[in-house]
Amino acid sequence: MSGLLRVENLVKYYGNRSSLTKALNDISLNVEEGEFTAIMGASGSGKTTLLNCISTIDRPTAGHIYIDGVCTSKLKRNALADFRRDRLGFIFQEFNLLDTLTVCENIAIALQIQRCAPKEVQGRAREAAEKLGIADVLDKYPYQISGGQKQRTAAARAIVTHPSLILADEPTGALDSRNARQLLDSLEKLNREENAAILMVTHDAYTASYSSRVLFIKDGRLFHELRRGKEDRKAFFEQIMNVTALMGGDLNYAV
Amino acid sequence: MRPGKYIKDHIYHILLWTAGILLADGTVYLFGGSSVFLVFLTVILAGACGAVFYYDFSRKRRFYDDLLGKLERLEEKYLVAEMMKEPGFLEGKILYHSYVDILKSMNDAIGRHERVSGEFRRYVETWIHQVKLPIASAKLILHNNPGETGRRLKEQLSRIENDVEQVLYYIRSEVPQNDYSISSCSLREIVEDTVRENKDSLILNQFSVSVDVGEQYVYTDRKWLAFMLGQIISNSVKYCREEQRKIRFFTEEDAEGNVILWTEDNGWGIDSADLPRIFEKSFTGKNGRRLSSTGMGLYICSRLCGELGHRITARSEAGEYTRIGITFGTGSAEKSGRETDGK
Amino acid sequence: MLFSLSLKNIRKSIKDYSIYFFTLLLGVCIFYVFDAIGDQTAMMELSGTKSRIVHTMNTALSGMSVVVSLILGFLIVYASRFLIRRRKKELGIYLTLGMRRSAVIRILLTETVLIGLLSLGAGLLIGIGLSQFMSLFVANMFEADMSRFVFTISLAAVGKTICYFVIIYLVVIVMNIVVVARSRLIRLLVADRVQETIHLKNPAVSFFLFLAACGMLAFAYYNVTANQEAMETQGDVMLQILLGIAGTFLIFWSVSGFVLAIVKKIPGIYNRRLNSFVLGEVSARINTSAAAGTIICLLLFATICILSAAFTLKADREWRMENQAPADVCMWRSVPEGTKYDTDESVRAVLEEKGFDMEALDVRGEFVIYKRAEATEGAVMGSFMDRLLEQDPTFQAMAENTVEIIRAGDYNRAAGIYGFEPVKLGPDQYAVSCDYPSMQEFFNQGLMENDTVEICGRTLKAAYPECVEGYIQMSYSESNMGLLVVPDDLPLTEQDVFQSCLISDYTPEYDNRDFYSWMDDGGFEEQINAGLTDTESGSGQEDQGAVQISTRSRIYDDSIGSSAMAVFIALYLGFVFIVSGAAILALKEMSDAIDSRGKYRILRQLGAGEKEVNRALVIQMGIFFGLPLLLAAVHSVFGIQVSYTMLGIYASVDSLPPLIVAAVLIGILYGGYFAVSYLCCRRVIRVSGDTCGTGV
Repeated sequence: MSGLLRVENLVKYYGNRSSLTKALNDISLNVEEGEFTAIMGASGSGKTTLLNCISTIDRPTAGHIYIDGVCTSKLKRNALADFRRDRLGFIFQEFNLLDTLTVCENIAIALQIQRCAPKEVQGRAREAAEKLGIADVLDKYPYQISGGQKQRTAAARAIVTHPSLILADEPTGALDSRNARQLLDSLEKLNREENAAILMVTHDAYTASYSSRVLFIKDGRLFHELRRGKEDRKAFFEQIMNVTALMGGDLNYAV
Repeated sequence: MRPGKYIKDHIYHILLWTAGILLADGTVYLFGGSSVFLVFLTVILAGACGAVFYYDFSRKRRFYDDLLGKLERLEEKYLVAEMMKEPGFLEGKILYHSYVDILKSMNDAIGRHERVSGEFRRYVETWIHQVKLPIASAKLILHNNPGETGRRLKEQLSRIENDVEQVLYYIRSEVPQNDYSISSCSLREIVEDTVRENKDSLILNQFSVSVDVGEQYVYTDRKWLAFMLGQIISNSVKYCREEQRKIRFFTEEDAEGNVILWTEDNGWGIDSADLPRIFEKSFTGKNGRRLSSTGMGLYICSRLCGELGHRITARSEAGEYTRIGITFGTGSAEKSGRETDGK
Repeated sequence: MLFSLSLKNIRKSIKDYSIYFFTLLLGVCIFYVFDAIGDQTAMMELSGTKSRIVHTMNTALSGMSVVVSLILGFLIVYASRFLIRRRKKELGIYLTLGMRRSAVIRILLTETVLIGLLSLGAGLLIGIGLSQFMSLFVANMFEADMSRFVFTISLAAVGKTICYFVIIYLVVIVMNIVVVARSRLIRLLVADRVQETIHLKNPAVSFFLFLAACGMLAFAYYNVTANQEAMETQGDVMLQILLGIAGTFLIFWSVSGFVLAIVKKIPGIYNRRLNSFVLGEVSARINTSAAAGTIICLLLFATICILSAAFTLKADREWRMENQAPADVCMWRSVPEGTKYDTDESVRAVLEEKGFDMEALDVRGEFVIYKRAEATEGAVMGSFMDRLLEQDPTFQAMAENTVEIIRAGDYNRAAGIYGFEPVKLGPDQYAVSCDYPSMQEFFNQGLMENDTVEICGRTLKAAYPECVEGYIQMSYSESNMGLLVVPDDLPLTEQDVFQSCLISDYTPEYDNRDFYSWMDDGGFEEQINAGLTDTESGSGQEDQGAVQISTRSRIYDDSIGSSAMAVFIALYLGFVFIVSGAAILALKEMSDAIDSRGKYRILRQLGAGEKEVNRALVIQMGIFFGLPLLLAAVHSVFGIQVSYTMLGIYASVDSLPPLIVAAVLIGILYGGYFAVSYLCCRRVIRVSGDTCGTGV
């Protein structure tokens, strides 16, 4: 049972009152400890669905997901919440910070939910903030800081509980290029120095190029994989763009 | 969930409650309560009771009607859990979670089977493409070695090739892959090409072939039609009479104006008992038992015709002739006498 | 087309509308029920006194209905404002699709009118149903005959209800129209985005304000209780009230600021589970709703005071009644002017003369009361009176007033009948009996300074240093203004007789309502005192020798009636107040819950379990519901004392049970609203949640 994350034959159908859509069609992938993986696809390709299933927010129609060797589809609601709390960290596109708490308290609340000893909470929150370079805004409220800082707060909140896997959904989606770069640098640093495994979903080639491995998803299937190997980021970026071009243009639009 | 059914199901509850209310009324009456008091009491109790039932009914009805409606509309009923929302009441919750568990295991099993058969299919297709190479090479080699032996070997190799192709088409027909392409094709061309491809076998077996097909264009898949005609020809060759073997291709128009392509041979014919069943899978019948046969050829043809929207029919007189007809375009589903069709 | 759109909207957002609808329904219902009481009570057969009281009550209720309708109107308008806020985005979308403002307004109008009509209809129906119960309750309170009960629908009340509520709806409609007509499109579209800025309060300033508020409140409390005498003018009282209101507001304004700062310093609490989130939410929201909190607090305070006062009043009256009317009837007759007293002038003689059926009476005591010229109040009080006269010459009349005198034997007999302490007089001793509070004060002071009195040439000494409590004439409330109890051997003569008294019970055949009614409602008067009703000399009936009676049945009716009325009005007002207050809170909480859905989703995604999230919600709502209640309770401690004083309730009755009853009632209503709000909010934040995991 090697591997931090193992997805086997994942199928997901979405339905509402009147129709059923196949969002994920037999997806299998593996993520090892300390890997920085990106899943790249256009809107509607199923990448967010994939992330939702992996992060246990949604349950798969068929298939299995193993995180740290635990089959998440077999967990019941309470065990699932505990699992999510202890093993996973989230970074969303819309920051998702609590507006009535300061930056420090926002980071801390992840620890509090984990029943961390109250005495340690402040210290660990501070530590995480320093790693993300936002120690100077710890006492500010979300409405007082920039988008990039908000996202880095979200990232700090994601890592403060020492999760096995960090899941990021379009982390740079709402940021301008400078803030995006800062965030990605921080993520890369985290991955390198803390050996934190990150699984990032994006439609942007630039963002994807910061990872060491990119999986391309289209119409619910993984159709290609690129590994960075020893290349530098720029060369990797070009490779990614090539694949995109092959698929008929900007991956922003479903082909 | 109809109100009537609900009431029927809860009839015991209702009866018990009514009995209780009546008992209470009676007691009050015996204690000398005024009729007004009785009215009040009955109204309150009945009202409360009714409200309870109504509430229960409405929340359950919503859920179950929704579920049944979705089930009715869904083709793949094993996906219904994806369209449901967890309801608020206990039995509904139990049902919902059971569904989720059951259908997940179901879908896992389906997925497993699909994967296995898919992998097998892919393997077979690869194998077929692999094995066709040496056959083609062998045929080529023989081409440069004329002579009786060469021709016979070539014929045998053709048969091998046919059988191999049959497998391919069997796979394609069983698992609809939609990889046919329909275009307007010249019937005569296809017939002539097919005859040419099978000429080794036909010449060796001393068949005289006549093609009485005009300039007719039909909408069909060229390759598949060629394969089907090849199968029919190979059947004619297999079940041929001793002498003066003939195969004739001709066309006809049916009552609705659809084109029918007939292949007629003067071979053994098909027994009237067997005739209705020749398009069944693995059916061998009397003829097939005299000469060993897989029984698959005509079955595959009938499946392919189904995919393409054609109709395949057969007419025969035992010992006299056999005619196989392919109707292009949709025809009416009629059967007559010794005619049978495989859709 | 627009109409069908309106219909669809109503059906679709039935959940949002349901709170609004329910509030409307409740308003219509309450209004009708209380208004219909007038007609309901007309059906009841009541004795004269009671029906008088019922009539008074009805008038009072009608008067109150204006106040009540104002409050209910405010509530409805408030509720509809919430609803509009919810729908702003939807209305904005209509506008972007090109619909004209007038069309949008028409949609809104149709919806409001439909909901209004629906709630009016349903409310009236339910109200009619409930009013049957209400008339049962009223009949019970006034002890009317239940067998005459009939289902009634009060058309007048229906009309009035419709009228008032149409007015309220019109206000709502106008308000809605104004909102839509004047809002800019962009404001409508982004209306559902919660504002992100937080108004922070400086903890030091908050603390200071809190102290100031406490000070103001303490000052007001002191003034209305311990320092009551200093409150002379209406203005003074108003000032205390204003201080109270301002203090309450400041407390709400400031409490979150410094409490938050303090708790933040305690990691043990603050950094545990979701507490930081809860506190953050609470302080952010309390700041913006200080006004609402104040209003609710004051409403609750009013309710608590009114309810407990009413119940205590009832208990008080009932106690009194038991103590004040131990015998069925007490009759007395002052000797007419210019007549000498002899047995023909006694009550019994007059009764017999006038043909009163003496079989009706089971006489328990007969005696006479004397007066002597030298026994004036001035004489009894001695130097104390002299001082009073110095201060205020108007006391002269009192000083010259002669005190009633009764022999100890007679007094003690009355004591035996009525159940109060008899006096023990030694030779040449006297006692002063008085139960009227202010006169008691005077006599007590007098006795302290002067404990002898001269009557009939003998000097008597006080046997007791203070007044004793007792009375001869039964009355609704304490009315013995002073009675001198003297030894039996004092030589009082028939000349000195002032009054003849008779205390009696009814014999069993006469112990029924009809007789009571005859006695109280004019039958007795006609038979016995006819001819004495008109007088040319201008002196009252008393001087003509009319027989005055005081019956237990009348005292009973009076007390029942007035206490019932008090309780009734109190319930009406209290109910309306508490329902309004709680409804406002519930609406606010629901609206906030809908806005906060996203936050709870975030918490769940971070791994907080269902129980944790619900616990956070309960604590938040508990604080919002509980803080006004707490403050109201503190206010009430003092407010109740004030109301007791105002109503003349003294420590004569055990006030704890009524308080408990009031507290329980409030607890049920308020608690009920809290529970329902919590359940609704919980459902709101859960529905938006995710379908995480399998299993129940």
